[in-house]
Amino acid sequence: MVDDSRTNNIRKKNKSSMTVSLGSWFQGSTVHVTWLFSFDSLTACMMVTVTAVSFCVHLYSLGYMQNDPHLPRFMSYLSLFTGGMLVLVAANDLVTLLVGWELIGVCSYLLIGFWFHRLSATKAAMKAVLVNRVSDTALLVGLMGFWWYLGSTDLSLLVATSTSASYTDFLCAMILAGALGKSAQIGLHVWLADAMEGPTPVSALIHAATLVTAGVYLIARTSSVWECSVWGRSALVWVGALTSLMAATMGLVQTDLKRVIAYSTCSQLGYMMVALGLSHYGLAVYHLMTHACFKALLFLGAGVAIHATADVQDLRRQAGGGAHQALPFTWACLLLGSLSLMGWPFLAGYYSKDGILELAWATQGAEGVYSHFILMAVAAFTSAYSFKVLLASFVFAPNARKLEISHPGLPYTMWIPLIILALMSVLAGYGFSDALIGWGTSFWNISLQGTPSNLEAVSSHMIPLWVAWLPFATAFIGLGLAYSYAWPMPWCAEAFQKSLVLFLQSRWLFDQVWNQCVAAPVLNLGVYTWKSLDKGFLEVLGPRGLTQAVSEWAVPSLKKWQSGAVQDYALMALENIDQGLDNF
Amino acid sequence: MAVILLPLCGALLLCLLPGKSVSAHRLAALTVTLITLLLSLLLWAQFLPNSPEPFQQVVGLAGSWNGTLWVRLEFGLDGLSLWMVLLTAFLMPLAVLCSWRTQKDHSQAFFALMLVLETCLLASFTCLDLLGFYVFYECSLLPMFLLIGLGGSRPRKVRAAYLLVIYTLVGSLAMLPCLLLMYSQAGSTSFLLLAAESWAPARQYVLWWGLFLAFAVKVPMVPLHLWLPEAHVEASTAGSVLLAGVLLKLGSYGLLRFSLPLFPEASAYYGPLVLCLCMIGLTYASLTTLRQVDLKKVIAYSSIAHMSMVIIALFTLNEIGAIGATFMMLAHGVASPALFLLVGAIYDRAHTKALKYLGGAATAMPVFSLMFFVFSLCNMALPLSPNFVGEFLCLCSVFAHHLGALAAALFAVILSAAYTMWAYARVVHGMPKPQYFQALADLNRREVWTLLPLLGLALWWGLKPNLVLDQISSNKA
Repeated sequence: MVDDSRTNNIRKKNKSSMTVSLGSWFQGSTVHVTWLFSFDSLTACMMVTVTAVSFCVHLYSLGYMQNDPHLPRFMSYLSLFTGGMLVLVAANDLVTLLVGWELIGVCSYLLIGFWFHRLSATKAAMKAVLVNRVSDTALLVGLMGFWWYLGSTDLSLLVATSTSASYTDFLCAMILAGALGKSAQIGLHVWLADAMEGPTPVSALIHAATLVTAGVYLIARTSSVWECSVWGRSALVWVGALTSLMAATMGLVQTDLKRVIAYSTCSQLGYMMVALGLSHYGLAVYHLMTHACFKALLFLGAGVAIHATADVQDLRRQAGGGAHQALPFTWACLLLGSLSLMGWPFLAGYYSKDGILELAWATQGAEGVYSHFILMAVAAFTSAYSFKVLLASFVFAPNARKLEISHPGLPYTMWIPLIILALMSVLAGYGFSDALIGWGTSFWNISLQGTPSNLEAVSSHMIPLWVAWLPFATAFIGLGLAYSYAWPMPWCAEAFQKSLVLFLQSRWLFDQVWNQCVAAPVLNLGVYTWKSLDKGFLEVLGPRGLTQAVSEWAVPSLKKWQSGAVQDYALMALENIDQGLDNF
Repeated sequence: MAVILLPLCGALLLCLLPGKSVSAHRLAALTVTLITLLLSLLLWAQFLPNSPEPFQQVVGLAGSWNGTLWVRLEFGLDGLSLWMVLLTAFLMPLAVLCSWRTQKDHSQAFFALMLVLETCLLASFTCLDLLGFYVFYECSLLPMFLLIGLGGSRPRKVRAAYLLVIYTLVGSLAMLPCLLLMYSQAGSTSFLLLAAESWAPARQYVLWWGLFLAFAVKVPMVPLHLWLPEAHVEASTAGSVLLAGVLLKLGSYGLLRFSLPLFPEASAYYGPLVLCLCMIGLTYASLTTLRQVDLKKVIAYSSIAHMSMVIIALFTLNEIGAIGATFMMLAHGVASPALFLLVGAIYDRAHTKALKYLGGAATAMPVFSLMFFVFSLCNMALPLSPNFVGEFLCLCSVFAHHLGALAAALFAVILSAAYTMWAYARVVHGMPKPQYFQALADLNRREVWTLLPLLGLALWWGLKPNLVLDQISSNKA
């Protein structure tokens, strides 16, 4: 059902996009929400990524979860999630976009808490919901801002925002706050590492490839607003680079295989945010796509390794040693994924990640210098923790008990997705780079508004050779770091290093701050309102006070009759009978 | 109007039935409520969406006393009361169904009282006369008092019933003199005549309080809310369903129907005060909900929070607010009864509502868990639930009106996820406690059929609420 003249106008202007209207959802007074879906280059990119990774993960789950009695439930959650994600990327109205946004949040809850018997899984699921609820509420305010200032939440009206409008900063702040939670940026990233309680395919699909990129997608989708807000874009750069650094340093000291990869995801999301903040939305989406491929590969490969070692995720206890002989295929996959993540030349990550670093180098001003410097350091850390994972779980001498020594044997449903993703991790870079971020590409059309100014676009393609090779050098720095600072860690005994490692291991104390400075005061306030006001003040003023007033003051004389002693009552009864007889 | 009188006749019929046969009582009650539902659907079918008349299908009774005091009772419908009537008629059969097995000893009285209650509610939602509304509004108190007394299982139920009556009665007592004052000026208590009368601002400021106090107790707004959690905890499931689904709406219905149109100046004048009260109430109720250990109290306190949101939206005094508040009343009238039904289901099995003892329902009760999850999502206003539509419209109106109130509302929105998911996780996740291994069986067919209509309604209103929204807003224009 292709609708109305406006749609036709868009289609005339631009052959590559179309809008479909499925009628009104709800309307009250001036609030009109329509089921609008639009399909353009951006949506296409997201849909390809989502459906491809989703297919691989569905297939993989058949093997990975084959012994789980709740496999049908699991598969239906996965499919529901994919549906929600497709609604999110296709929606052309912010409120319908919110439908997808919340739907994937619900699926995330269900899937993290899939093993509902486990307390830690339930806690992690609750944490994800609550943290996301905070940011979703900010996004809700953003939606109301769109309705209030632009008169509609229809995304095709966004181009109407003017550069001088005073409200763009407000809108950007609210969208950014919304993206903070979903895309696990600094402050609201705390749920992502805990989300690893879910089954590994979930981590691959939701907490690496798709759900967490929803914030990046949303910002790319609303690019015309961001282009009007200088403040918003520099906030993006600062937030993105800080997140990237924070997550990478946390990843360095993690001992849980999946958590390392989770922090790596968080850190790569920071890269995407920086690219968005530097106005190169296409590059951010491109990195999103390549990242989805190699991160899903890493998670699925890690899942195989975990399965093979009797569900041990702790790097200190993993098989090591002969593992690369016992699991040669998995070892190859993980190595490939890690190299791609590090930006090894001509693998997928190389094209997108180095693109971001080069863009940062080419950008004039404080944001460029700042983000280039930080992201370069992060690249070294990335390589360090990636190598650490590889060394600990495949190369170093084994620490595992005999039971946990890896054993081969892989159903075909598990290796086929790995092969697909491995191929994509190799090919997605070279294959798409010219189309998506090439010089003067017209691929994005009007789906993304901002492209960097001509100067920067040129200079990010024409940079000195040593800048281009710098990221590659960081990979070796990282390898050195990983080799010299892997377990055992005698250098940890030094006071300074010890406190540093403890700080990183307690995850920059974010959890403590949230728990002690936000959650605890709210809960204590709850105690106060419940105990002191509800059951105290109001109760005394109300029912209990009234009851007491009546029994103490209004009828005090009756009270002393109610002594509770049987002989008193007996006496009273006798008296009464006496009186009655007398009257007779 | 046959719809109103039918349940009353049904109640009389029930009294005539032999006292011992429980099955006859419940069957009769179910039949009567179902016929009432059918008739109310007929009302809906005859309802004209864009009629020039403010009220449709008006039926009147008139009487005089010594030729001096004229009392004229008129019943009529507009978009607002139509949907309130439909909601009431819809929830009643479900309330009968959910007390199918639990009421054995006093089934005759119990079901008869429920039918009397239905008559009172339907009458007060359709009555176009302020005095008549007052009478029916008060009348609904009596059956509810007795229902709590009959339905509860603990001695504390007496206190709960008294709290309900005394709180509401004290509130209504403030309304009565105002009513008399209005009668003395306008010479009538008919709503249309009162609305046509021009009230001096000074008089509005006084009269407004009378109505507001009565309705604020019923809503309930925060300093006056103590009766609600008590009543919910002590009432039987059917009592809770009706209390949350319909009786609370009497308060906000009264504000929307009488306070705002009759005293516009006073409503604008006291608007900031009400907003402030609601902001406090919203925050207060949300925080308090977080610390409840009784499942029914969690839902009861969250009802207080949601109703505060309704009142905030009403007192933004704009059109979106009125539509959003009305829709949120309806949405809450679906989600909250459904949750109470589910709590009732688990209470029937485990005989406890304390969160500490519950857990692991997902293991043995998948259908229950699914239902509980869906309605929990409704309660936290997730998109595609009717509550989201209502809450979004409410928040839009608050956004347009006052940012401070918006902040309080958003705080409550965040906390609503916290307490709802917390309660859900406590009941459904984890391992079942050993003492309840035997007891936890999944929902039976009757319970599923009690919940399915609510689920259908939630889906309909969540996905395609336009029909309802149009009819609600048609009478505001």
